[in-house]
Amino acid sequence: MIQLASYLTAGILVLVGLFAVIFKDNLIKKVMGLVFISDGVNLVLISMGYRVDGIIPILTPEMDAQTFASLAAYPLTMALVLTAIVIAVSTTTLILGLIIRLYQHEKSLSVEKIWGGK
Amino acid sequence: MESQLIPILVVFPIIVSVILNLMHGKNHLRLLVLALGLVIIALPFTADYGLHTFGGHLRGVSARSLAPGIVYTFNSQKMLSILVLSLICYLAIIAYLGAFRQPSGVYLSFLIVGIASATAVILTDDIFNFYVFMEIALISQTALVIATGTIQSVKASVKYLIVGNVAMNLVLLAIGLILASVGSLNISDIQRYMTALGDGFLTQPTLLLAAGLLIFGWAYSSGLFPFHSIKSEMYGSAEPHAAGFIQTMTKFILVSYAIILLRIFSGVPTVRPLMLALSMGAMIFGVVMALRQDDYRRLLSFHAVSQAGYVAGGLSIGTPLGIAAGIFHAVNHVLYKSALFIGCEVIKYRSKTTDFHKLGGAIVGIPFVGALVLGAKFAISGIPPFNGFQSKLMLLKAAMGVGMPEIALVMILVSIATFASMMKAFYMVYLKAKEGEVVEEPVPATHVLALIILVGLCVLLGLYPDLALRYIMPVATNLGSPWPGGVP
Repeated sequence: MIQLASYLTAGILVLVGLFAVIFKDNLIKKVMGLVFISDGVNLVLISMGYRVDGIIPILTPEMDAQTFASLAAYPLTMALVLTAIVIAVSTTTLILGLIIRLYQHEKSLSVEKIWGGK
Repeated sequence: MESQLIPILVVFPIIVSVILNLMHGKNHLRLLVLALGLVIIALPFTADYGLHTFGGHLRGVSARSLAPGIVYTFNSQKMLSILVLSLICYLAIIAYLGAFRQPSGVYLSFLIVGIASATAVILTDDIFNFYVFMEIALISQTALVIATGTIQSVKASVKYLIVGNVAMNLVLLAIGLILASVGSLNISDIQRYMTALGDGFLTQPTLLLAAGLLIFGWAYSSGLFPFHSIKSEMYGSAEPHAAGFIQTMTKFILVSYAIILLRIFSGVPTVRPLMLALSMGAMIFGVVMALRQDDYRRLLSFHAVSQAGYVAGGLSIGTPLGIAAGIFHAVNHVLYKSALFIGCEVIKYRSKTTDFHKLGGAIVGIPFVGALVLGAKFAISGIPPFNGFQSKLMLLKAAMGVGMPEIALVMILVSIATFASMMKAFYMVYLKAKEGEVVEEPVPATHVLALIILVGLCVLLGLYPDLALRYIMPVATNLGSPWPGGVP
């Protein structure tokens, strides 16, 4: 149930993000849309690793390996999401930096005004 | 066979880029980058063919078992691709050093990061590692474009990054779906799983969705239809030597990505026709847009996209001959297109513009450069004895071999349109009488040297295609399979 709810939330995040990227005229709102998409995809990955009544996937010396294997959440997706977050931060920062440069030149954040509707 | 030196091909360029960054503004930067660039070119010869495993990954493990190890594989085709990539980056560096008196260590480091990221994309057998280095390649390409400092380059980069962010997130979603279904990120494992699944693939909606999303990502990263105008705007906004290198990175990423798609989804009957349709779109729209351009750089940019369609078309056909033709055309294309971009930089350097209406008469001042550029124009048009003729002939044979003469016809028509566009460009830049005052700078010797090397290689591969094909054919034969549904 929790997994289904998080998949639904992720789907809504991706759709809202796509809507913002495609239909919003303001560049900052487009970037917010990109962040929504990225968060939605990360939530899908995290939800994939979810296990009902699971434990954090850290194997301590006192823990039995068999018990750990049967209870621990899937750690690989968490590693992927960590990397994806770092990449998303880098690309979002780069886009925002370029948007600042664009705003300084064009005095507008409107796609319509900057690109003339292209 | 386990080969310990394979990671050096990625690690060494990353170290060099850090050093160049630290050396920004210091003395001996030129000497350092030229020396280290030569070492990078020599690196592919040092590693043995085989694979390198990080973290002791057990191949063949599947079904949600923990398999975090990344695997790099190295074969003859990858060796050739990395060698050509490094060579063209080196020539771009030479051209940059010749055209700019105060070289920037930061800019040079991004050129080298481009080599590292594209090399990792070529080598990796891990689909998430592939995604990570695709993102790094995207950032390095953007950095090279915005380095020009023009508002046009900022506009092109913002557009490229926004669309790229969406596309790459969808690729990440596809990777997640594959992981959920297969339980591994290793491409060889995924390939084995898909082969075992056979026609059962068609009943798995998550894998079908993953195939669609990955093809979307491929079209974006390769600048295929419908992303051809965004990609060509990036090429057109960069300094020409950087545009030559960026399009080289793009072509080898296109090839590596297509090989992954063919390996994973070869059993899905709709994947190759869909890839072929996108390739044809890029080929046709690219050349049509090129014919309409009044700016030399933008004209070359659209041709870069159009020729990407040929490369993707050969790979999409997917037979051994088609794959070999596609990879061979990628090698040929990056050579003559880089020559054309460096030739364009000579014109920009001399005349301070690439607008056709303000150019003309260059044949009087630089006849030798004009002759070399004309050679590159013949190569892109598929005229013998240049290399473009050999690979285009192979592409035509591949299309005819799967019973699709209409694809071969489109390839011929696009080639004729390419020739017309190239001759128009040559007339406007070199032959047409120039209007107004003539104030022109001398040509940097570095550019002439780069042109001689590139056009020389175009002739060499045109006369002796086996020099490249002997590296490509073993991989193409191993990877190729008949066209889905057989030959009509």
